[in-house]
Amino acid sequence: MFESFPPGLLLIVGGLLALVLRGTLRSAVLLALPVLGAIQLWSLPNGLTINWQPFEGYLFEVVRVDELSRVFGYVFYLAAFLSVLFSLHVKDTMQQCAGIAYAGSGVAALFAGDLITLFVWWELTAVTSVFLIFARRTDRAYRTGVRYLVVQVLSGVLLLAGALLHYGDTGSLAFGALGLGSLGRDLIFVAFGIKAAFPLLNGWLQDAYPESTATGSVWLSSFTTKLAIYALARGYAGTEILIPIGCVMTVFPVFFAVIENDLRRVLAYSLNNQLGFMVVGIGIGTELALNGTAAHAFAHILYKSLLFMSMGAVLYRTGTVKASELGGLYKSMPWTATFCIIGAAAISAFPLFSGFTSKSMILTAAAEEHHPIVFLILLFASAGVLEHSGIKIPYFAFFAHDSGKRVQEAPRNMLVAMGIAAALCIGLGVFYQPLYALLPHRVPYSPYSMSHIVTQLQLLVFAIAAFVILQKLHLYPSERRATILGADWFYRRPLPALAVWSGRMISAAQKGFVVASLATLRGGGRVLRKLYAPPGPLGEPWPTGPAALVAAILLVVYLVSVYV
Amino acid sequence: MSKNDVDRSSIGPKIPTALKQWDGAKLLRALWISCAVLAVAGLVFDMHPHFGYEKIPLFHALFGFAAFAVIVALGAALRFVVSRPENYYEARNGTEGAGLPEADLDIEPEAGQPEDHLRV
Repeated sequence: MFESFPPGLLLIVGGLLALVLRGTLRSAVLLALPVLGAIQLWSLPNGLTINWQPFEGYLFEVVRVDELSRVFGYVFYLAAFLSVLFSLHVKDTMQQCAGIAYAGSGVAALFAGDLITLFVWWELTAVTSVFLIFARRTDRAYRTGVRYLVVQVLSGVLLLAGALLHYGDTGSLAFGALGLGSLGRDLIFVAFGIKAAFPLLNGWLQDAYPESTATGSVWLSSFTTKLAIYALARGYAGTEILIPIGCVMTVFPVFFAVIENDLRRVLAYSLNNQLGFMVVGIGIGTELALNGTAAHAFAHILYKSLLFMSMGAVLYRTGTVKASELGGLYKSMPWTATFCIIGAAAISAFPLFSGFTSKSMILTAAAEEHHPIVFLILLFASAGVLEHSGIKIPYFAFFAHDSGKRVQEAPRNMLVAMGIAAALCIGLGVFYQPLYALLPHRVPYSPYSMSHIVTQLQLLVFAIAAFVILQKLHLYPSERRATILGADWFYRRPLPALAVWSGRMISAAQKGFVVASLATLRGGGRVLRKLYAPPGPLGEPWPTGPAALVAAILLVVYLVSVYV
Repeated sequence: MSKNDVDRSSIGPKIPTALKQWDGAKLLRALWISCAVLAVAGLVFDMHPHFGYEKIPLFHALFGFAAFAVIVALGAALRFVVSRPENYYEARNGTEGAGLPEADLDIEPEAGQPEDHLRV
């Protein structure tokens, strides 16, 4: 029975069920769903496909299980479980249901074997996740949510258009290796690129995630962008343009993160930077690189969730995540601070933490494929990760100058969720073999060589030394309340202005057309009056001779035109 | 220390020992020692360089230090280009971000929060 049920659907049905359940029962059901989902996935063999033929000639592969979808599937279920646990105290039915249904859509999309099935789940992730932004129930969140939805739906529409064009070209809707080269496949690439937050298509990420609820951003950080990474890895592995795109993604967010005051927005920039590493891995496209991408996505979902959880807990307790208003919170939220530091160490890729065992694979792949500049850019970006996620997040929230805020420690369910995520961040750094065994390709790789450890530690520890020296010299930029313009500026300022201007132009043109038409009609009327009203040439009765002549000419013209 | 302060510090679970003994000076000493040890390790062991530039002694250490400084400097410079007042987007929209209540938050007034800290 389990085998005929598409993975992820269980969570969606559970989300609907949670609409009517309340209290402990709802909590128990929500917690059980990801566990059941993971057990179901475990029971499904690789190579399993489920086809559905709604009508003659159209066969959809609604489920396709293989190594790549499986590794993403497991971590999606894990992230769903942690997110449920973290938000267990939330009474808001809308958030609870939207969260679990969003995770379910994400999982289902991973197992879509054709582009139309992928499109359906792709759009459902957009529609369900927007409620996690609306749930904040402020006017600002509502506007952000609408912007987010427009961008996400646009991505889906491009995917559908691309899929149909691709079908027209090849007669196939199968979602396998696509590559660039036709309009349809290029459109699908852009659709994936929007959700993967490619440079200049990334505005929605920094715009929307920080506006979600304290718990909502934990859900959001796990699924949408990693679904896009999975889709790129499936469809565009080895597409070389992804290497420069990924490099830009790793580098540009770090500069914005330095000056961003909202710590959840800093995490959104950091997320973008981490996606860059994965995109580079997909672009390199070797088995080691693709393994690195999958491993990094796995590790990333856990430490990024942990960091969003820690900032969510801070927001929940203090009402703000602005660096300029925080500081010294380790005194009242010591466990949250400890877990945040573990997440920060993991994302910075310190040895013995999960980021190290996953990211080093992508760097090694870049080195083995002889990409000296790419390797250098990834090293530079690694120093950037340390700056914004390794140091800035924990330092300004929990240490730095004491803001005087004295609050309660995070609720127990939040602490347990953060504790599990933190344990996994260390666990995958030390006992990485089970994760490596899940990866799609069988490539021998060992992260803990002396040169790997020493070079990585040199990079990180000397970068920390730079931070200390800059702080001592008062050269580190202070945290200021400000809005930092990002790629979303283009559709929040010039685009509406252009729309208003175009509207004005169209209405002016419309007005001009009406005036001109009326003037023409009036002029025409005057001419006709002159012709037909007495004493105009046609307004008087004609003498019989000329009238007969005109009639004869008309008759001749008619006969010639008909019979000749 | 006022009576109120005493009450506030007793809120929540006990501080883990590692954090309780948070000592900036000791941490800094540990940092400088780590730098020295890593520098020596980098010079003593074979670092298996992939590229020519990695053969520069202490390349990764120097690169980490320089990259961090460059990131901070360029980030600070970027502020002149992309930094706007906090209400930049709200100002023209009228209602956006008008400080409506946060439905999701559970800020606990009994924890001694001054009212102005409740703003988001």
